[in-house]
Amino acid sequence: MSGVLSGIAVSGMGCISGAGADLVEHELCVAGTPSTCASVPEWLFGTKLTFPVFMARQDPLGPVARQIMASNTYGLTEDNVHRTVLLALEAAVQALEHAGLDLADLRQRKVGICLGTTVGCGFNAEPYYAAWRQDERPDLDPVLRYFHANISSTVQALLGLHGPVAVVTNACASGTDAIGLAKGWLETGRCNIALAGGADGMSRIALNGFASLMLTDSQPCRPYDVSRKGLNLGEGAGIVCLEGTDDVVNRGGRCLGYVRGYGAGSDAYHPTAPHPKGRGMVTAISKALSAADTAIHDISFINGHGTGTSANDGAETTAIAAVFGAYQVPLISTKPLTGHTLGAAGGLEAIFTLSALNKGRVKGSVRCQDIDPAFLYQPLPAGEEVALAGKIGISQSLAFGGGNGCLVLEGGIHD
Amino acid sequence: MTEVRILASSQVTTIDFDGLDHLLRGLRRSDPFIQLAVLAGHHALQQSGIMASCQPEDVGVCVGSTTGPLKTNFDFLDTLFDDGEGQASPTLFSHSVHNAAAGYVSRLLNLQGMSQTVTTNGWPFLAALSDARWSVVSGMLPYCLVLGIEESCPVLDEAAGRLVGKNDRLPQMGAVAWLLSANEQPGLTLAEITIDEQYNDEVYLLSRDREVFSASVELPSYSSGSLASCLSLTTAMERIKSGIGQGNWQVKAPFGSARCEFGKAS
Repeated sequence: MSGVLSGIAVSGMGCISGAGADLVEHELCVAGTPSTCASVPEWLFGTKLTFPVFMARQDPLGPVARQIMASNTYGLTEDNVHRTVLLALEAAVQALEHAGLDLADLRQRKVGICLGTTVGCGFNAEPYYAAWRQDERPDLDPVLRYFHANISSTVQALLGLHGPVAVVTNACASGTDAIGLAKGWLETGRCNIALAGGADGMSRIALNGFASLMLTDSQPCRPYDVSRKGLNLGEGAGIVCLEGTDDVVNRGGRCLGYVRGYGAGSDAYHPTAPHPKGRGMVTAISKALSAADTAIHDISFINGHGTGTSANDGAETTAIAAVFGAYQVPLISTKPLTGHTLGAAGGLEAIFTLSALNKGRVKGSVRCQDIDPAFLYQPLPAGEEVALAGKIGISQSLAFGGGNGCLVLEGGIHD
Repeated sequence: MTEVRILASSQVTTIDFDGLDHLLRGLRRSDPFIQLAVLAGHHALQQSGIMASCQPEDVGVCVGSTTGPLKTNFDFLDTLFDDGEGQASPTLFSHSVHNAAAGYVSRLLNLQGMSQTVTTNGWPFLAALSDARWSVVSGMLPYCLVLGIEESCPVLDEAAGRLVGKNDRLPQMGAVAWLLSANEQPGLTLAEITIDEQYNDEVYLLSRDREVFSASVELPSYSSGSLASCLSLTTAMERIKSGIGQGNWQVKAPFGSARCEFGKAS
């Protein structure tokens, strides 16, 4: 390991999900405050499906984000933008506050916004389409709102910032890949600061889609457990503020952690199922370790994708075994706390990873009581807590389409 | 700084798999959005000839699209509305996500480097080119296949007609593919990409009116639509490559501007 703490720093973190409304609540949830896995609330949409989900609070916006939304000049309101945008805005505002960055100052700089999402960029206005396909010609507002579903450009507009924008639509790896790509933006000078991560609101379309694929569990999910039956959908946003380390230090900010390396690989195998040996995940981890100039013995824990589906958890543990061999570090999943938040997952899990690295401890996956004996790599079970042997960890994601992303993260200042 | 070469490119606006039965077998359940991507990617790779000499994990895929496979999105909704909750089509759902095309390209062309898909309202192909360029410059990948894929969708076409009276908005679909490389082969380099996309009135984004392309070579005119920038840029690049070997392309629109600089390999 080089041991050089240069490169790209994480100077702020913002999050909202079923695990809590901010970073403090997410850390309390990790510590033991339970999160709720329950039926889709009626205030969101009606559904006959009984699969439980993890919801963020009904009104995602805190006071600062609400003020920003209220003062925009684009005609955007809490009622006419997709819920994914609200979740992303709230997490972005939290991250900027956490970083101690002032919006007025940021408006003089190039701020990149690179966010991942899945359902957030689809056409979600079901009533419009239901009428349209009956040859009615309903009011066009939902079509116009569809263009606000590009969460990066809409958050950029709401915050009044300028700089590069992109939405990463890599299904469940979107948030991880967005942080990796934003690292590249900073390294190539496309921006001075980047907001990166992901967001996804709960959607009837996604709920039905995953149900149709028979990937959802009717009980709270149990990643890595031998009795696992599938995933629970969740919603949320996890966004980090990235800056050059020297920039953070020079402005008197705090480096809460570092993005040491990023790697990606494709299974090239199946539209929805992972390669049984986690072929793309092996590539992603290997490339991330190489990019970070880090060896497996420098890694102190792995925050896995750990959805609780049979195929995912099997492929993931097989891939980790292929890279790490007999070298055992704690492997956990935080999805029992948040559900699978799709495009937000990589952002939220990067934050969970940095939080654990900074605290120096990690707890086993909630509800993982009996580890699947077929696994080639042993996750940390529920009820166990271990002190970490170092400051570097991995956060990784698998996705539909065979995409895999991996971040090597290093802890910084303990908040 | 590593120079990024453009080894090969292709433009596809019609779906023709004549002589490509080995690809068709894997595309039985796919939609035109995916088929366009596979065709464009195949043609660029064939033209380059690199697959005989590199490992699958050496080649990544980076896709840019404005709306993704939106028609499949609506096809999935049809099954949800018609068949009811719990009965919607799993195949259509898995093909309705933006990155379905990247997954197919990776699988059918056996490319095991990264598989990325990005979207912006304006010029996502340029965003994908920029990210792919970084992946090559940073050493993550020796090769990256970059695709721009666009299809028009009846729902948006009809809305554009009502909103801006654009009855001449023609259905468009197509894909372009560029193969970028870091290796020391002769050819045109992708020297620089600058993109300045601004949040703007959704009416412009729907109509794509007043999008103006220019280049250091003569360009054909294109009808408005999100595919136009992909075709214009690729044509400019191909003409520069076969001509003087350096030049530029730019676009200006109400929602911003972008520019690509091409150079000669040193």
